[in-house]
Amino acid sequence: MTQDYPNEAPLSGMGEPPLEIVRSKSGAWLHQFANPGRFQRFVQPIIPWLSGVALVLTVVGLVWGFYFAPPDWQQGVTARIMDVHVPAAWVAMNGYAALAICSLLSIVWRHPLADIAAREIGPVGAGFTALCLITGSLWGRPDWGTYWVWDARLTSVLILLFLYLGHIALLRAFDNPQHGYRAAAILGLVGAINLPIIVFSVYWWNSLHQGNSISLTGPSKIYITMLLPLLVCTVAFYLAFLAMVLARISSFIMETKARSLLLAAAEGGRS
Amino acid sequence: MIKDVMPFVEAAYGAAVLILGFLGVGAFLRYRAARKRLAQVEAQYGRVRS
Repeated sequence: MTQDYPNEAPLSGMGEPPLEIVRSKSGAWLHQFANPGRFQRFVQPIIPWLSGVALVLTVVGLVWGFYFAPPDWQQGVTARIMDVHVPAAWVAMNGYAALAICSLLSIVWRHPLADIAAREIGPVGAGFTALCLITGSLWGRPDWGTYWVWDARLTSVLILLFLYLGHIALLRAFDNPQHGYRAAAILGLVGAINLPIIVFSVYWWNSLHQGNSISLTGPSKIYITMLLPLLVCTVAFYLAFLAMVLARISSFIMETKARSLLLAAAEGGRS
Repeated sequence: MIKDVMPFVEAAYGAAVLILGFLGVGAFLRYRAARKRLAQVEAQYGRVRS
């Protein structure tokens, strides 16, 4: 069942970004989606399906990768860690790119849902970044002989985790939530400079980390039997990320709505 | 040279299940609680109309 919200319902609960929309010709199309009621009507029927498909694909991908992916001729079975590590890294980086875009929308157009989206992307993105670092570390020990080296790729991904954590903390660090959203949006946008550094770090500096094995424009260096579980896990992780972020945004809107109603009822009772 | 590498693979997949499970279950429980809470409040005070 979807929640029924009025078209221009304000989200003016305590501590949430105001939903007054600054309409401009350039950003008019964006503001169609700034309305929480419209957003809820659009995403609430999608969330269960998206979550179900993500769950099934994740199980299929992990089981395929762990039990059936062939061992690498040099690395042996440790190459199976790739099916978790690589998708987690991609989602972590693209999650931050999404956070940076939301920050831009927030700074330029004061898009209210962008603030909420950035807020909810943070913890999920941090989780995927942590997963990338943990699995990379576990892959490094048998292959490189160490869990960690301060090389450019590993360090820049660690910085990505700190950026996520900094965004989460900064957003909640101010008494006035608007200041928190504004400060976090600036951090989110500035932090995007780290993304090309992560991508090109293996080419700019000497690194233990290997270069790209898969390219969107060129042929893959991975054999198809190893590539397929990787692709399934990649799709699964992206869908899981999307489902979790949408569910969290939707939850935030509903929590705010409930708080606003209680507040309005309390004020009505007082007057 | 580490001979038995399987524990590293198991730990990596275990970490994936743990972190994804934590994030997923957390998001699901929060979503369910928010829906329930809003339905309760709306039943008590009516829907918001601006």
